[in-house]
Amino acid sequence: MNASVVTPIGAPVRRKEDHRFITGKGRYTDDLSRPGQAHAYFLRSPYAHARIRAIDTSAAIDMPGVVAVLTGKDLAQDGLGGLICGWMIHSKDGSPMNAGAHPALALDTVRYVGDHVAVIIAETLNAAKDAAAAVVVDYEILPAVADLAQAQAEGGPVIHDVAPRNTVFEWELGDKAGTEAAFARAAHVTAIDIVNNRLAPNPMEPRAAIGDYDAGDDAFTLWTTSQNPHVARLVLSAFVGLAPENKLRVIAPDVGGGFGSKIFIYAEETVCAWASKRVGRPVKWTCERGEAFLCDAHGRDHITRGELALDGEGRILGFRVKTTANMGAYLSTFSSCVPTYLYATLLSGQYAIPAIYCEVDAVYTNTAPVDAYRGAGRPEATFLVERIIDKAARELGMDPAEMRRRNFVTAFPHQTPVIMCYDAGDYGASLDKALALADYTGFPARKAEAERRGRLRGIGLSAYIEACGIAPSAAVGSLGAGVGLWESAEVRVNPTGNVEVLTGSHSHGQGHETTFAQLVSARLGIPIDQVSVVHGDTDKVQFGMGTYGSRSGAVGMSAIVKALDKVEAKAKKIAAHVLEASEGDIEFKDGRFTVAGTDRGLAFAEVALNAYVAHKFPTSEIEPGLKEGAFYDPSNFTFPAGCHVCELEVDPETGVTQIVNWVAVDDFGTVINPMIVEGQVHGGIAQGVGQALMERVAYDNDGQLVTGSYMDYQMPRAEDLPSFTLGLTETRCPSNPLGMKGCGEAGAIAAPPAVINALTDALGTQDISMPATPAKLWAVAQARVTRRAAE
Amino acid sequence: MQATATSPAGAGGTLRVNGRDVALLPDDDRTLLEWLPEAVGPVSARSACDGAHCGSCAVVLDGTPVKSCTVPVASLDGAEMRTLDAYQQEAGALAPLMEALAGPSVFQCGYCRSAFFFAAKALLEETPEPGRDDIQAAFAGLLCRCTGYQAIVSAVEGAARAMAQAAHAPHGAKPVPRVSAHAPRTVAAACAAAQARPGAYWLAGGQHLVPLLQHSAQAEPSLLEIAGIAELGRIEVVGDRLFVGAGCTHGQIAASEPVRSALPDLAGLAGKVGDIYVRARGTLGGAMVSAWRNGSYPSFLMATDADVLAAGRRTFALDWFAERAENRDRPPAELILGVEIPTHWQVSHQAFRPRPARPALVSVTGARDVAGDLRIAVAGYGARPFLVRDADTLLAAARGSLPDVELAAMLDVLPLDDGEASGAYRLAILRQLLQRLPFHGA
Repeated sequence: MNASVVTPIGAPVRRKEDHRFITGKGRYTDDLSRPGQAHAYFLRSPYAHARIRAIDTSAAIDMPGVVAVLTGKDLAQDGLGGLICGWMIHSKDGSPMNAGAHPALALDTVRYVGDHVAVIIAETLNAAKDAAAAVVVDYEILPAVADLAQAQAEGGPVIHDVAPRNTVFEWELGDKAGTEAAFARAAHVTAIDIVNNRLAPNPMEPRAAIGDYDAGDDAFTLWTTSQNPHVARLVLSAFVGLAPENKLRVIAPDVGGGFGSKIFIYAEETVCAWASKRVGRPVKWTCERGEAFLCDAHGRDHITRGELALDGEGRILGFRVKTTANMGAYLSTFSSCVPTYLYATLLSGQYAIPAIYCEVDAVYTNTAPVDAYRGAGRPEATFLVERIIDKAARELGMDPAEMRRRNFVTAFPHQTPVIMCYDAGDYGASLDKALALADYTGFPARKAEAERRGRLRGIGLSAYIEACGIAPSAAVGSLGAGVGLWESAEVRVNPTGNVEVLTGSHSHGQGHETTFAQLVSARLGIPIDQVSVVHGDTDKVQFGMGTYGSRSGAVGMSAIVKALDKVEAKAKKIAAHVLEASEGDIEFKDGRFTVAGTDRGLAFAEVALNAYVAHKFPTSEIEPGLKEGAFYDPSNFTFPAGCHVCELEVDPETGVTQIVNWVAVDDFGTVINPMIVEGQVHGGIAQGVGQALMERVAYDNDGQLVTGSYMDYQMPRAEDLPSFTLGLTETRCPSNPLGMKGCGEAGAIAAPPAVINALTDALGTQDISMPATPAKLWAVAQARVTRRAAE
Repeated sequence: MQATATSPAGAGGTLRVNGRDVALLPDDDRTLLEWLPEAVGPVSARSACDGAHCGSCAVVLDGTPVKSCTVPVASLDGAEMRTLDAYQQEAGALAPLMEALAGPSVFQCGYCRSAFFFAAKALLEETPEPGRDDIQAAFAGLLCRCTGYQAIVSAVEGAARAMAQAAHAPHGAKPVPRVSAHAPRTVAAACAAAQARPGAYWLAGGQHLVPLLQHSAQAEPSLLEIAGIAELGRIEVVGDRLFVGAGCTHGQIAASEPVRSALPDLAGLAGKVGDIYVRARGTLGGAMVSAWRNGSYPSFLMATDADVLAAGRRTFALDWFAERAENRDRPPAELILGVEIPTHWQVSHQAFRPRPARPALVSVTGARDVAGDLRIAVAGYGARPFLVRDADTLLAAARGSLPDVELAAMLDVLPLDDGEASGAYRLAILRQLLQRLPFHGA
């Protein structure tokens, strides 16, 4: 589509940012260099748990090219605070969570392999690496616990003194008594034990940072790979105490994927900014992939037992859940809300469940911190709900689709027993459409045909729901959040009628520069190439909460709409004066302000020019200029939902799974750019398939990371994935002006249970865990043969 | 030593980058990927993995796609390379590919784009009208975390259709091996250089070695580049034997007419080694050294009773791989010249490769001669590749109802049991592969 025309909402516009990326001119943090910069390398703990008796840096400092060797003592000496967790969770007994200190460089104890011991700053990266080998650390090795199941054992290693039995909190949500009562009258109870495997997010661009202290202004600039530079600045100012906000500029330029892992404020970025003042030079650090496996926050890692109470007709009466969540060695920035308010609040799924009770124990282990990864809590909830309802259907001899249909929420708004109030949806419609696209009724014939070829064929459903558009500020505040989760926008109309949109959202692959421009183009009736989107720089953009939780459309774009409303209102006033008409008679349509019922009018650009020239309206009543800002706070979460169907075949002789068909029918509310939405769904499914079939982070008993490179950590490649058949259903989201719900995480949430449900169908056993590798499925298939022989 | 025309004495020579000559430093120990941004500023080649796993650093070097993290820059005097930036300036016949890959949401964060562009370029040169499976296979060694790949595959499909209508340039020209002025040009010179520098590594394609060295804690080892030795690049049939030089790339072996007619399964397995980048640069000799345990060549060479020719000696492949297993932690001191394979066999090679672009978990080669004598060799099952003792009996057993434990006992080799697979699983896979060998009762 031509960029010089007005682009309506829903049009498949080409992405504006692609021109930059395809030339290799994308400006990622590692592409940048500052004059005189030095290079940082982090000395990391080789032990999962150890006391640091002493660090001798004297030999390292004397190495050629070394500028400085700094440790936690230097950080403390400069009065810098530790890294924080921004969401307070209270235990059942009302006590606040047991958060251990999290210094950016270790003070006296290291708590996981990769923990930060010292930073070496040198003229070149290789000089810094060489010097790191000369730092002598006297460790007293302590017993470690890496296994989540062992972490709370009495008498085991204690990782933080403030957390007895390594327990951060023992939290609950829901109605315990009501749920017990539901189980007491149940005709059938289905129970399931689940391990939600630990994942490494792995955006292709590794994290990077450049800290640059300007002594003339006594001010810092930090370039960093961040999904939310404004929050990074707030945390570094208010909590770490690096510098006041007006003396700290954070810039997140082009960012090569995040998936959650670039939300958090990490040690390395903090240290680079601080050290640039200490050494009087810009300090640059780029993460190597091996370091990313060690230190980027991981995702998931739950052990859960779920029980579902059902009546005689397969209707759900109650749901009881006990989860143990691995937080790793420290509480990362948003880690505490992931297994609590982003998880248990979604346990109602798409279903009308009268009573739910969930307990969550969060525990420390000697492993990398765990925090939000694509979906964050909602994939864990969806996996549990969609696995247990599938298992219940099999136990009751019901069709899994019928089982779901019988329990769907059908009237809106629907208040669940776990906080959320679903505002709109049509779950039956997405199920029906998905089943039709997947030819569900033709499946038995395909299964029989596969069996003749020696293949085990299965079909699996996943009717997911998520809470996105995060989030109403007062609501999350009442649940412990340390910040409000609104978004801001500013629409600057220039005198010649082109527009800059400044947004607090951040794009790291989502294509905001296109969708946001598309919104403005359609609304103001100006060509899309006359709209520029500015994000990721705290000196340019007012403030913002960043991009995660599928919030940039529903919240970020709503803020832009609000600012556009103000622009249009002011422009109408100005147009009325210029056209010598009354304001009430001015209509704005297709980029023109006209006097109703006449042919008199002005183009948008003419009104913009008049606004700045300010000759034809009373500036005592109307200020010159045309620039408006808005802060939008959502009134509710949004609830994207849909149904995915996975059909696959397993070769029982090798255990290899081939996904033969994938249908995704999603309800994202209003869609601004269908191509971008499809890309988001594809990518999400790929990550979900990765979790289901191949990905897992593993530590050995000593807390050494076993899966520390792409040799051992397997991510999906092109041959591992099928083509996807996508469909949409649409119910408008009533709580925001565009009716958008969000699409960024849906695939990663929906996919894992769809795959595992299909595998359980194919292999005839519920006992299949993630990742379902060929070796594991081969063993299951062999056991099946043995079982059949015995029968 | 004679300095080449492009390499003034005392300097490191020049490399042409996107049409501009850039001076190289003498004895530069960086990879091309490390050198590029420091020498010419940011370009489209970017680092994203620990070495050769992802392709984000891809460039085209003398017409051949390479992952720039696998190329030592010191070897590039007189070479010509381009990054994606150059094709944006002037795409030429590749304009439809550039256009297709610029489609809406083909890419998202954009970081990995070079990987897919150069793989697609190489694929379309080999296979102008690829199927969807061909495109996915060409992307085997590449990683994108944003897209789920399908939009990229579809874009390349579309580009192929557009380009097939345009005239297609003939392909198959051998890439010119590039070596620094100090690299030996003959086997004799190489052996003399090796004697002068004990402990040096032979550097051919560098696909395995260079990423490994990058992460080695030890001081920079010395490298002896052998890519410029012409006699290592020979493929020829002599009587009833096929000679394949150790410096031949997997791509050359796969495309070679003599190989395809004499030993088609050798061409077939070479065409499946690694990914399109590895096949363009990785060599037979390099694979014999690095993938000696579970690569596809060991079982093939052992079953066909090949000889390994090294400077100064000739060894049975069987013995050569046994020595390699003994000395797994040391670089080979001798220079491998090539292999000589008897061609009188009917050969079948079967491999189980559950992970794209990685060596097979288990591979099996069966070779039968006119007299009906059968040899079977296995790699990836045990700690080292081995020749099966009584091939006919084993084959019959694998096809019969003999329980797995008894089959394992017949093999008399303990299966590996590691994080990748259990011993029982390896045995089951081996049985599958044996069953696939197209040989019937002796």
